[in-house]
Amino acid sequence: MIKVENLSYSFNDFPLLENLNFEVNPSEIIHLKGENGSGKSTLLKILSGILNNFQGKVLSTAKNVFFLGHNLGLKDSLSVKDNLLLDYRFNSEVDSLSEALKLFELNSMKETKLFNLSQGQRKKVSLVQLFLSKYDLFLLDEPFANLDQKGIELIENTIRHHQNRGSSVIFTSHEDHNISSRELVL
Amino acid sequence: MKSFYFKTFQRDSKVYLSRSSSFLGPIVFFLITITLYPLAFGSDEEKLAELSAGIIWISILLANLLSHQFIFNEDFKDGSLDLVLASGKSLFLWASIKIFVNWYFSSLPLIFLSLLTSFMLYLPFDAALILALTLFLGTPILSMFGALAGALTLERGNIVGSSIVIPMCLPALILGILAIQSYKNEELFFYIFLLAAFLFFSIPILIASCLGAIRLHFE
Amino acid sequence: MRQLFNQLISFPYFFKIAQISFPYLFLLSILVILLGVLWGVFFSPVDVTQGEVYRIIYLHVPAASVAQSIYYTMVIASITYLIWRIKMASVFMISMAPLGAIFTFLALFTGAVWGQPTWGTWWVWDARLTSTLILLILYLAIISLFSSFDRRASTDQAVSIVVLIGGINLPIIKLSVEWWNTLHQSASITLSGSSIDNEMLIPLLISIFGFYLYVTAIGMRKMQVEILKREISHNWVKEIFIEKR
Repeated sequence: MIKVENLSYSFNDFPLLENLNFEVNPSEIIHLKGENGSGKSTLLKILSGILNNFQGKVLSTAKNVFFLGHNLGLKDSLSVKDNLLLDYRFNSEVDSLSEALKLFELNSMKETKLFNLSQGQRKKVSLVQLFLSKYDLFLLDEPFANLDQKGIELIENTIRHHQNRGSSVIFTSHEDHNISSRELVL
Repeated sequence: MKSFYFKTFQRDSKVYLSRSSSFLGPIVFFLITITLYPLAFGSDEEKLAELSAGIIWISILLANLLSHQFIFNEDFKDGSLDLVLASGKSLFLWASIKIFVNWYFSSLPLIFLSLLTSFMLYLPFDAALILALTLFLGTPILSMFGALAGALTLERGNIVGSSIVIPMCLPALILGILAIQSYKNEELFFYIFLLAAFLFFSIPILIASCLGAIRLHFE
Repeated sequence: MRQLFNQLISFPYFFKIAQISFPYLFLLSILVILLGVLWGVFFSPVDVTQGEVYRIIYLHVPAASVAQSIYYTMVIASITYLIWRIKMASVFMISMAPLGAIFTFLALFTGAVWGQPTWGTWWVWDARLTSTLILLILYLAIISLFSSFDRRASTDQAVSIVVLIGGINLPIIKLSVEWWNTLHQSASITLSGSSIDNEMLIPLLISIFGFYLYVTAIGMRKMQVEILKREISHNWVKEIFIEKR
């Protein structure tokens, strides 16, 4: 799905990533580990095409890439529903939305403006997007942060669901998760 | 399924509509500046009529620069810009749509308002029509320069941006005011033509520069 | 030719060249400026209409000329940086912008000093003065950009973008200011074209040449400082300074 060769990246002459080599196969779930500041987020941003000032090669066969960053890309002044439907990543049927909202227990807040929601609820909104979207490669930066146990299980199931469809997933997290097929430590 | 660009248009429009401050802000700023001039220079009809074109143009220039600085700023802060870059779509059209939506909500109302305020400043009606025309051609230029200033200072969003941009906007201001002042003779067409040319050539250059400036923050 | 160019844009090579040539260049520039200005002030004839005060042109004209030239060279540097990513070009822009601002200010200041006794006013909103003032604002705006970014490369690119857009815009600004001026000009003062006597021209040209030499020397020095700031952790810098000791 994606192949990284001799990838290096530096910020103001300070090397952040040095000579990375790895490969991700279809239907593989990779758990990206590392200390704070080890360049996990940066690596995901490079793989998703947000940062392109790196050395080395990133070869990808993924037709489309789903990126979930630290900043969720949600608009405070829009409703939950608008935030989901007008998201650049939304590529599913509109009908599937209400079912997904029910699953994440957000159905009652469909028309609520986002600034009324807590951090955890916002996270959930962006995870509904993750649940609905059909992509080849998912790059998730801290998808489990700010979530309760129930939410964590939902995400694990979602990730498995995407895996069964043949997509690959790379996610970062500080805790251990048994869904991953492989761990990659930076 | 809606296209990427249609989503951009709808998303931005909804954000503007849901926040009255984003389009009322420039209107309030414009009206208060217009009011300041007679208070400072006196209400002498002849004097105001002579100054009115300049007063309106300067007020719009300042009101615009304040609002256009934030075209890309919010997307940068809330992470939407990450998603745009990750989508791999053409950013040129995306940036054009964003600038257009901002112009539509913050400059277009000011153009209509300027027609009303021109009576308060005793500008003759024919000249007021020319004023509206020059603003119609000129404000998109201001929008694009403002967007560039905002894109350059995404992280800080400070006064530096507008101080870079105001000198660059001078040709638009001068040509606009020259056109209004020569509204009775043929030179009018010359100045209008030049202003239109300035707009025409600004579009590709400035939007490409905006994209270059945005890229600075993602290297 | 290509090799020479490649050497000049490499930091260590340029640093060494500048280190060797700076004292000579600086001394020469001071001598040439002194020659031009002293000749102009003491030996050239008095202007018939303006009297002694015209002699300030031996400072004013060179300053104005240098101020504009610096901007045009910066535009060339910005294109070079944006296309070929040559770091030396950005070092050049960042070092020269403050010099440009200083000389633009000097041109405006000497112009005002000249204007007061000659036309009875420190300042007129003449086309040339107005566009020089705008040039000063542009320089200051560019300098204010220097500290707006966390990343070195971002500053370089932002400065190049603004310099380039300003460069495209500057002739347009000048033209529009001229049109504005012809429409508004009510005072009878025009600053353009009285012909100049040869005996005044030669010291003036010498003085202009001296100013250019001076800017080259100081500019090289400033570029050295900028290079040191950027390359402080590199080996060649350490080698140079350890050798010195």
